[in-house]
Amino acid sequence: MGDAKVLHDVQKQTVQKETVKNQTGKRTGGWKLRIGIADLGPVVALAILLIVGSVMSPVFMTKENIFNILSQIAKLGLGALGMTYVMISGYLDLSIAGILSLCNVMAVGLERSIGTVPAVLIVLALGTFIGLVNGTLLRLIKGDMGASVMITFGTGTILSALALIYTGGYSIRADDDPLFYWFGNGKISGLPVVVIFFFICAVIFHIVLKYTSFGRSLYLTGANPEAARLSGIATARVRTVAFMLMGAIAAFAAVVVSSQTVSASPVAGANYELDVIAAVVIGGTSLNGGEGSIFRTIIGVLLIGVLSNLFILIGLSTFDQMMAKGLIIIAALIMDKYKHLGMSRG
Amino acid sequence: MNILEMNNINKSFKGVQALRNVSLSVETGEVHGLLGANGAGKSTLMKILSGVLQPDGGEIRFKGEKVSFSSPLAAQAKGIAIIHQELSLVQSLSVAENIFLGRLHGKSFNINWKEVYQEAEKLLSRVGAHFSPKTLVRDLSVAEMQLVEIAKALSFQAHLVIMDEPSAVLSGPELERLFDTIESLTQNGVTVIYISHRLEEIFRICDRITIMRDGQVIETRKVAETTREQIIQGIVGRSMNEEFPAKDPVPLGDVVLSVRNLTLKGRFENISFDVRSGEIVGLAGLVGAGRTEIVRCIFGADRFDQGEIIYKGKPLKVKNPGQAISSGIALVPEDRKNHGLITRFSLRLNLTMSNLKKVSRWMFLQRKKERMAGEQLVEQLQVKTPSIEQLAVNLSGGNQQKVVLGKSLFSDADLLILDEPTRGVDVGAKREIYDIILGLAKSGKSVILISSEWEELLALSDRLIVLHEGKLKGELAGAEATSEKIMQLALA
Amino acid sequence: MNVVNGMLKSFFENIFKMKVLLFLIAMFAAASLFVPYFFTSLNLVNLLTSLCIYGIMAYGMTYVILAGELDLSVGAVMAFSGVLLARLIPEIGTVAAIFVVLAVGIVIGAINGFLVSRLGLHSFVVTLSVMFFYNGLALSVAGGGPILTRDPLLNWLGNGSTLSIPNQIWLAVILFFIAHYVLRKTRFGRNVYAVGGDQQVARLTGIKVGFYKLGVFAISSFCAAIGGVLLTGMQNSASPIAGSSAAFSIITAVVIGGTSLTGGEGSLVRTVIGLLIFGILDNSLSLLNVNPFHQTFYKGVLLVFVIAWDYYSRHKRAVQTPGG
Repeated sequence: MGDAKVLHDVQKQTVQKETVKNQTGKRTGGWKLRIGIADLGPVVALAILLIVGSVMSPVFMTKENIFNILSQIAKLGLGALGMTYVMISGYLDLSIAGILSLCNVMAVGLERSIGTVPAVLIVLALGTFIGLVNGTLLRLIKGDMGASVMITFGTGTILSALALIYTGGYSIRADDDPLFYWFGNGKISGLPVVVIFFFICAVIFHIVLKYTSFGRSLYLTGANPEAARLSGIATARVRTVAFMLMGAIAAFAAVVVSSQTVSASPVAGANYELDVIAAVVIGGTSLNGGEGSIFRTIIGVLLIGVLSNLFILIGLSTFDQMMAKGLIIIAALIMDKYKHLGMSRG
Repeated sequence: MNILEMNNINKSFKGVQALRNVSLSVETGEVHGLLGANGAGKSTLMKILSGVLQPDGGEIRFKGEKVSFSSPLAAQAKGIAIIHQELSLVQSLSVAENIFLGRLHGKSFNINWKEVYQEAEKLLSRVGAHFSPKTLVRDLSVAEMQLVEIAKALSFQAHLVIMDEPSAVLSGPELERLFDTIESLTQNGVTVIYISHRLEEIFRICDRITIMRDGQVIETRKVAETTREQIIQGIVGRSMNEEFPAKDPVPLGDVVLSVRNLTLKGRFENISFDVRSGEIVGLAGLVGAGRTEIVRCIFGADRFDQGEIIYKGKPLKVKNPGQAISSGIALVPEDRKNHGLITRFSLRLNLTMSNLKKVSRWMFLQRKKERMAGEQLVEQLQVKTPSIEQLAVNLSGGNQQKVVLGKSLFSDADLLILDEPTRGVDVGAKREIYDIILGLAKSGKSVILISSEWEELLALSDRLIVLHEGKLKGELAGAEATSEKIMQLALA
Repeated sequence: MNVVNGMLKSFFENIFKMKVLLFLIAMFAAASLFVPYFFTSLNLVNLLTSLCIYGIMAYGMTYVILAGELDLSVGAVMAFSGVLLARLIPEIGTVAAIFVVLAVGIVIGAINGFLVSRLGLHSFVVTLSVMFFYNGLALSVAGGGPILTRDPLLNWLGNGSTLSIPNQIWLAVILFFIAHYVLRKTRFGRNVYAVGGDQQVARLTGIKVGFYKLGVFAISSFCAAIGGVLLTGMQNSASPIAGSSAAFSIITAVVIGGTSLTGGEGSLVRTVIGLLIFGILDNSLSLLNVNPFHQTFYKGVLLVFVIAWDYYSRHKRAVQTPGG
């Protein structure tokens, strides 16, 4: 209720003593999304993109294209949900490139040997376990965000190497299994299954973040870990759980990806962590921790998805796309910085 | 002759008038005290004087000439040095490098390290420091760091030295050494502006004082012609009947906490004491005595090597503050802004974070419960705020401290550990906090109180435990305790 | 002469305090004993030469890390520099092309520094995005594949020797002494330490933090440009995808040496030691014919271990500081 609005509007309030009306005067339904001014920038950008897109290309607004966009960004979107938690708690997880690579080859490898269902379960467990390792390492060394960057990069490198070792460097093809195929390619009443998966995950992640004590702990931990710890929040545990959720959902994304192509590549995760972080940052969640939301992340993911789609439609080369991506992230960072500067005492 | 004249200084921040027509004159060679509540404008005025900020209006005359400082370096060049409350040293660098930060090369292009160390050595001996200039600052004690700061000020051949709450972290012999240093400074013709909340010190070393309130100068007077009452009245604007509340005797209950042979290598050893319910136990000692370390171990924030803690009859094994809080122990940390509060969040979030379970059902937060709990605490502690959604950073020091206390109360703590609860809090709010602390004891809770202001400890504590360099030196019952006795034990 | 004497004296003074040095010696001894062909002059020269390019880039990275930042774009800048060089040589000649590429390197670094210092953005994300950008730009300029260069001067720089010591090693050593001197003995160098040690304090002291942050990034990209030139000369071709893991290998080396990621602590000597340790490990694994994928695995484990150790020991030290 008032909570979501307060956390979104943290940036809006200035440091002067002003009379703030008690915001809990009105009660609204529990599940409504609360949108504050801070979210508008990326939303506006998205709207502009959609308009530009439909002007520039006649196929842009077609149902196929939209579903196409949504399926493409399932991989990105799932990862971004988990990364939002990690970022809010004040850390970053660069190991998801490795998680994706390793989990997608293992998903196929295990599918071939022991079947789809056990393969998926084992891979999800593996992803969760990796998250546990990341969180535990950081807890033991009492690391800060910089430490999380370097350590998760290291674990990610290890996992990527393991993926290459597992397949000997080759891509592997999955056995024909309609269940396995369904994850990435199925449809339920015309809507791709991956989109439904993403939507369900997004809703769950959102509810947990905004309405549970765990979600609140994420924000408190990210905003000031030491103060939160001294106030009784189990900060190390909270952060580790965030990593575990990250690992699990990255593993799930790996299953989806390998299902979509009915094969797995040991370098499937290349640049994954950068894309995911970019999406979350562009959406407006702060790298500093203590603020952000699933709503913002979804907008960021859509922005990147629509943008990538537009690039392809207008024939931009891969190289130019990379350049554009780099520039866009920087632009997003600058806008985020000015948002903060405009709001607080200089 | 007046070494300094500040006339009609005005300064505002985003519409809030911080200084209003402030005028200050300081005589050469005097120790001039600057007093006032938090937010009265002392720090702002000194920041303008030292070049950190620029005034909106008014003029500054230093040694007779009109000056204007665009940066701290400009002020330093003219001979004004400031020692901030937050020590401005680079921890990872050596003492010598810190003293000559940014000036290591002197007049030549490259750095002559031999000369640098020699010069630093000379300055260090002037302030009575015994450590090598090659020592890394992070390896020094807080009191030693302060000496480095003073040496740094001397290295600028300052004519005017501003000290902003230098004694906040000192007591006993370190304080004496500080006073000696100030005296030798004035004997050498250096003028000192001394900002402090501690009235004993003001009376001890200042010649004249200026009292500020709400961004204006209330009065300037000679210390010899001033009473404590008059100062308090100037600061607060009304006369305070007592600085400290009267302590009614409270019936003591059973032993709630028993600390036995607590040891942490290098910090403290064999610490044993008891705390009963309804009792306020004060921990006295100098910087380095280990008080904060001990209570942090009781609270589970740090590990200890040996010993045991028995709480409510059972051995206490807490590995983190969360467990301590569940057991009923709460800590109000020394560093309010960084460890006590999350300043960019609202009061509501800050108040409830110690016990989210209390406002949740099956992991889901109950907004109404939370709001009511928050409002009730704000009411109970008389926190001055328009609403509980106000950001913590917007509150004054005293009110912030109340919020931290409120957070501890919210966790239903029976044992409250207060580490310097009135540091940086103005006189009016201090009294309110004292009342709250006494009220806690009256309601049967136990309090462990750490304070560097021995008068405060004496007024509030039932018993005093004196520590010195990690060892328990003695216990004094409230009635028989005096500052002198504390000093004796704290030194022995 | 006094300058050199002074430097040598403090050099030996500090050496015996360094545990990393002992570790390096132990590694060298172990490799010499257990890894075949390690202790041969051919291999050792190859090892040193192979470290030169990353080494020079590591000097620049050391400056950045000392100032409390990170530069992840060095690999991309190196690749881009090589590609730009290869494209320019036919137009304006080798020497001019080299000068232009080096100048461009400085400008790239200045832009990075501007984004980080003036706009206050996190160096990690900024340099990551910049890396994307220059990777794309390099691929674009190169047309997607490597460009062959058959330039004698360039080849001499990368593969030639003077007085029977490879030119790369000459360059690395000369640049080491210059970089070390600046860091230890000039105002610029010491202020870099101050900025990295405590930015607030440095600012209050009148040190222009923005200038120094800009400066260290300019230095880092400049070194990356040098690396690009040398690499192109060595391989007689410029690859737009070179150095994709350069940044992290270099950062690993610097941190192994003991320069702390929080800034304000460390030195070039430490960086060189870290590079040697990393290089010996890399070299030994190759000589032992370890599967390249396994090699990456071990390097990853090393990185995690070293970083964890850096943070753990720093935390332990912080706990020692006394309080009240």
